[in-house]
Amino acid sequence: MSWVRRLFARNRMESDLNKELRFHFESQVADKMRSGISESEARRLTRIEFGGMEQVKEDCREIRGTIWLESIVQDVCFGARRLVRDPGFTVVAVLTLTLGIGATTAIFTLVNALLLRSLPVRSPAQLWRIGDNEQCCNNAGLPTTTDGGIPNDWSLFSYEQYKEFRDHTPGFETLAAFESNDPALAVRREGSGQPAQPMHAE
Amino acid sequence: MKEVRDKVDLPQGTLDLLIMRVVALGPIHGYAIAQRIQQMSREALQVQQGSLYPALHRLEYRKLLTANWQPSDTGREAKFYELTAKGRAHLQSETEDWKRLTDVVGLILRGTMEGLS
Repeated sequence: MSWVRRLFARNRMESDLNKELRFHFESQVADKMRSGISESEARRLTRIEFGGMEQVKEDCREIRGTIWLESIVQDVCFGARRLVRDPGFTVVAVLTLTLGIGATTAIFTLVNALLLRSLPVRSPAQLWRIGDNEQCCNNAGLPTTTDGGIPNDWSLFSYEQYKEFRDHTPGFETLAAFESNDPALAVRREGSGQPAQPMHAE
Repeated sequence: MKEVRDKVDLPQGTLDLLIMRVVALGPIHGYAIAQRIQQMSREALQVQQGSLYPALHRLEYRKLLTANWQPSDTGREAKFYELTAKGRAHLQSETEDWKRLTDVVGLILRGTMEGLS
């Protein structure tokens, strides 16, 4: 019986235990009366022989509580003995588990990085980057050819163009832009006491 | 004095074996188990309720015994214990172990009381 069911069956067990011990007590009294002892004397003697009825109950309850722990301990000991007795099997089992856990962890790390972890924004599915190119910002060009870069490329946009898109693209809630070309910046983490670090960024 | 000498103290774990042996004879309630053990040991063993019931419940939780409520010969409902298949196998192997042990101990203790007197 699982310990959960045992927990719920507690009242039932308590009354069963009571009933069982009472039956024993009454049978013992009846036997004594059959041999010619008066009922009150038989009860007195039986009570003495029984010792503490509560103690008996307590011992039975205790077994209920500890038996599952006992069986776990037994299982663990049995397992350990088997492993010690058969080192070949132990090595194979440990290796199998090691490889299995290692491989699973490696695959999970990959899947986690590629598929499960999303962008650190509120609704990543709504975040889009505009352009027709995997690349942005470096090695890329404007839709117009006037700047001497790669012609007819839709990965860089002028500020005026950004404003035009922002104001006339109802499909987007809002549109943000950032500067390209790795300008040199002095940056410092928010709230940090460190001096600002020179960095190139977009 | 003789009565006291005739009583035997059970080694640890032996009670479980005796209980299972008695239960193997057929469904039986706790009180009858105690009486049966007393009779079969020719009054040398008196099983106290304080050891009998915890042992019975332990065996039941280990699934060596199963129990159900039935009317006894007096008409009152009593909890009758029976051996499970697992209990039967356990009893068999424990009995063999016990026989081996007593044979071996007997081998060593047998013979004259040389060196003792």
